[in-house]
Amino acid sequence: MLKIADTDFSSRLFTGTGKFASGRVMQDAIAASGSELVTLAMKRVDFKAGSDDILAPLLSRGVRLLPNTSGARTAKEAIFAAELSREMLGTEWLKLEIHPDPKYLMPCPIETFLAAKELVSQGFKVLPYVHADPVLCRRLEEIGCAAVMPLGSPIGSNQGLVSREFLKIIIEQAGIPVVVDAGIGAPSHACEAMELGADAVLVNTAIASSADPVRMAKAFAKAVEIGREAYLAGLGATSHHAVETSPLTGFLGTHP
Amino acid sequence: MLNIQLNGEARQVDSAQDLASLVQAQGVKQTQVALVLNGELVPRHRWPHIHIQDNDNLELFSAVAGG
Repeated sequence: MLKIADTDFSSRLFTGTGKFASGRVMQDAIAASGSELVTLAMKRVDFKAGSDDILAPLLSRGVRLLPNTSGARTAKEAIFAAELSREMLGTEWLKLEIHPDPKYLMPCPIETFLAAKELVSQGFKVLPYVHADPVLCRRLEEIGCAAVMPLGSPIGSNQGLVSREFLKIIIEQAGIPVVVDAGIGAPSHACEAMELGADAVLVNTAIASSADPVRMAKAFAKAVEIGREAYLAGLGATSHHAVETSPLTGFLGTHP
Repeated sequence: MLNIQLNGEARQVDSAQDLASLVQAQGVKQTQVALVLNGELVPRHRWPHIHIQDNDNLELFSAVAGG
């Protein structure tokens, strides 16, 4: 069973709550996904717009909340956001994300490392969103992060595992769970990440932007299970040339 | 009356008001918001003990959907 920071998860599919057409669709899709960990963002309350209560239905389902620090551009801002989220939601779990560039939303490794170090020392369970950088992931493990969340491709881009070869190195080296986050656009991508040996995947846009998010959530749940099973079974070796699966001697080609 | 900023909007509030009653008056769930007063996060348990001052800048944050 997957364990992150002393918490067991029976589902290896984590989900985001953003971009759904309605709160109801989001709740139904998360239920269908079987996800036990969901991300949230924070925002200044807009008194004019009003807001759906997204927390109550999630908490009643027993899912664990993973607030993110989206919007933070520096370590200082992310630390402040973390303190806000702990006060607001009463959880020390945190998806640490610091991406100063709005076009590609690439996570800043320097600010992320600095913030992670401080937040771990404050008792936060830090799950940093990072580029698929094996060296950075090791450093984040050394300073006490609960997991690392390397990207497959840019957030919301649905491009899949562009970083595949580096994810393999991260997975090979990691002593903490590796959650592939960002860019997973299809169940096949999620399956592939699990086949590589990822401990879990985090999916949002691909489910939320599907024409049928509930059905897509179920598809992702299956894909993650299949990928995990394949990883545990052990994939066969790959080869550049053909390797026969049937005997080639003593039959048609060999009679005089 | 005191003049304050609440989430970037100018408001007038009663001078006797404390932070807890101000939050309550906004119709938000007290247990699901975080309050920042003049740039400092104020823990919920301190809200009843802090009275609003003229020109205070208050910000209320809540959880929203996100990835």
